Amino acid sequence: MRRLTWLSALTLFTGMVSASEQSSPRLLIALASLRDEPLHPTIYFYEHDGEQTGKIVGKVAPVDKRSDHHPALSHDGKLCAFAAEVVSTVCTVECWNLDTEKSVDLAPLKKSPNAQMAPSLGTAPVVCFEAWNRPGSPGRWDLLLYELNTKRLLDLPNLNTSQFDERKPALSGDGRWLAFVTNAQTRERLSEVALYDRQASQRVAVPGLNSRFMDTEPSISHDGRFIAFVTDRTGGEGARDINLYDRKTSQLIPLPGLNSVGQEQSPSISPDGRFIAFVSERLEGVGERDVYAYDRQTKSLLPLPGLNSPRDEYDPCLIVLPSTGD
Amino acid sequence: MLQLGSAKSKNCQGLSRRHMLQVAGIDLLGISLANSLGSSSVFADETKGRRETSCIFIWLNGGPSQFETFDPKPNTSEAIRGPFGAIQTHLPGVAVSELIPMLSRRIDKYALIRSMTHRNANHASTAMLTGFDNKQESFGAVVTKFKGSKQGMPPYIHIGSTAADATKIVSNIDKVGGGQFGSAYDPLAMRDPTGKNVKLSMFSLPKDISADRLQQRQQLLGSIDEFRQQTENSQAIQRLDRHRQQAVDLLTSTRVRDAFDLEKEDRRLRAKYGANFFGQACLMGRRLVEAGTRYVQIKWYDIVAYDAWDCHGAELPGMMRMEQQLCPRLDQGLSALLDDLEDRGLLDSTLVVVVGEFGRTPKLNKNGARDHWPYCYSALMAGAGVPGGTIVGASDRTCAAPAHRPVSPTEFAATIYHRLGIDTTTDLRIRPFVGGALPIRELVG
Repeated sequence: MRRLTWLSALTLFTGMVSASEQSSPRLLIALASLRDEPLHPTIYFYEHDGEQTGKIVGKVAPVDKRSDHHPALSHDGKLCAFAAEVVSTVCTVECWNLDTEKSVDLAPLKKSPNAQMAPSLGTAPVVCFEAWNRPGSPGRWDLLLYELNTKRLLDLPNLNTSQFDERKPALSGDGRWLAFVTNAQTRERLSEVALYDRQASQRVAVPGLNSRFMDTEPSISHDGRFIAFVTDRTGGEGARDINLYDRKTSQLIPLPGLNSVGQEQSPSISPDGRFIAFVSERLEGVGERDVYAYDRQTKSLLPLPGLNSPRDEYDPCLIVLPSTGD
Repeated sequence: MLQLGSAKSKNCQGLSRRHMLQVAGIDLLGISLANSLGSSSVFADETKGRRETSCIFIWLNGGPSQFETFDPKPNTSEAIRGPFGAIQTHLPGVAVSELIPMLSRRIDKYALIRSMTHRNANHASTAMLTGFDNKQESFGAVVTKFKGSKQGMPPYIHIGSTAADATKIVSNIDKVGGGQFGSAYDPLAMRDPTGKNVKLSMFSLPKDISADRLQQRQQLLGSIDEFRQQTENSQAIQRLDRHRQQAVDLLTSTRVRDAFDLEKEDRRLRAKYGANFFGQACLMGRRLVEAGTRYVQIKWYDIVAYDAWDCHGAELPGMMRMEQQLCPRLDQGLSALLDDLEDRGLLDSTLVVVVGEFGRTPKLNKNGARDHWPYCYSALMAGAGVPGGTIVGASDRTCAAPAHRPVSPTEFAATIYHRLGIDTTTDLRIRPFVGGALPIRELVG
């Protein structure tokens, strides 16, 4: 694997880059793929110039009979957390350092006899993940926050419930906002997207976001303004669609050209809110599940040469890298 | 070496034993489809003005969770209910999982059996593919035996792998097929239904054999059989002749070959079914029954990474797969199939069956997922006169057991046979395949 030397020069990506300031930012997409191992997915890293070209630039070293999925890049591009599952064992959260190409020790995080998965990383060295009946947690699926530097779990007051589920965390780049999925809000236990403000230690309303169908898989921009999510609501392009919610206006933003009659899932919005990577099943695709990237500025799909294979690609996580001259 | 191009001018009586063996070998290579078509003991014709009933049997191998599909329990105890909610259908008091919203809007097109039950917790496909734990004759084979082929189409086609060709099979079906009827009653197997990848060895002529040359071969083989008949006057040979002619008709028939070609289908409709194996298999199923196939068996994916329903784990092998792959594909593909059959006027003559080998445990495991549970699970039936919107039986509060009206695999089998035009009450020949079971009265009127 080529060493990602360009990553070592990066510093924390703290500013929100507006679409007008930077027309062709470099993108880094982490994704799960079955391209080399049909039974067990591996995490790959794909670098793209923001326009036409891109290539696979590395991968997490595969472990025999282990399935790696749900990668989450830190917004500085240095770390990648992911879920790892060996057959007949519980799912765990792992972390990969793209500079050193080695695993990051998450030993304290792993201290649970039950499954932990779906990590999300922010700029701050914290990983948020969901855990099933972890000892010491309220119960069922809960969200936990782990600080990599101190190797300890941080408190998330007023977030988790004992009777219901909190899942699919999406941490904003600034670390303040935590979008997630809950089934606590309706009698039918429908999956809905909720938002938690770490600064205020409380949930924040997202009026107009949820429907009477399933709304799930949130992804949040760096400052917490935009939330991309998956919905089964009627009136879309077909089966599951990806919608984009603007917290500033409490309205959905149209995404012309993104959705199809098929299934669109697993959105990952770039920190600046301009790009949305996602998974779709399309007849013209390379495999069954392919990863696509949508540019809100051009309202079109980016060509992603070499990214997809005849086997499945899924669970993308997209970040924007500073241009070489930065 | 025998030259096919000149063979038609030869007189069989002049062929040597060696030449005969050569011809026999080519027969196996080129038109072994005759074996499949030859499986019909009765070649039934369409009754005038009434289309015979066909079946599309969707096999959700691995065992789908009843909780996350057709029998959600969103308000049961915390140790049992999953993370997903329920959507109310327009039938009062009837909800399905939020993971199948498109099917929730089509509740009037299908019936649900919520009290299926048996006792085998292993991945044995026999019970739900035959009606019994110890039988090998699949529903498709029995239907073929009783009803034969029609319109020149193979009567029994299986879409998906048949087990022996994959290393990580979740639920084998290789022991279920023709059974005592013989391999001739095994289904014609289609590994991949997508247009660019359809590979049916039985439909593939050797590269050097054109359709014209196949006809020449047929004449040659006919001559050989004439020779055989003169020498043995065998009824079996005569029967084989008829089957061989059918095979040749099939191989050279544009209509039949087109039925297998998804590229002939409108791309918008293809997309509506879902751009995945299952969706395209459903579309292929519709094309095949439309063309005359009696029984299409669709098997879900095999390999763990490719999504069978055996979800013990968390992410890919577990609940996440239910949410992101299994249920969305089932929801879209099955909804499109029901709509398409109805739009074409085929739903009344096509029985659609959806079931796996069992359901999943009420109690959630260490991954927040579910293990095997045969004691209470769900099945779906639609079309062919099955009254839509019917709910047969009910599970108890935790889906651990039927609360009332338990339905056995043999009753399930009797219902399928009944809806496919086999009288399970008066035709004694069907008795070994249903035992004493009667069809589910709520579904047969």
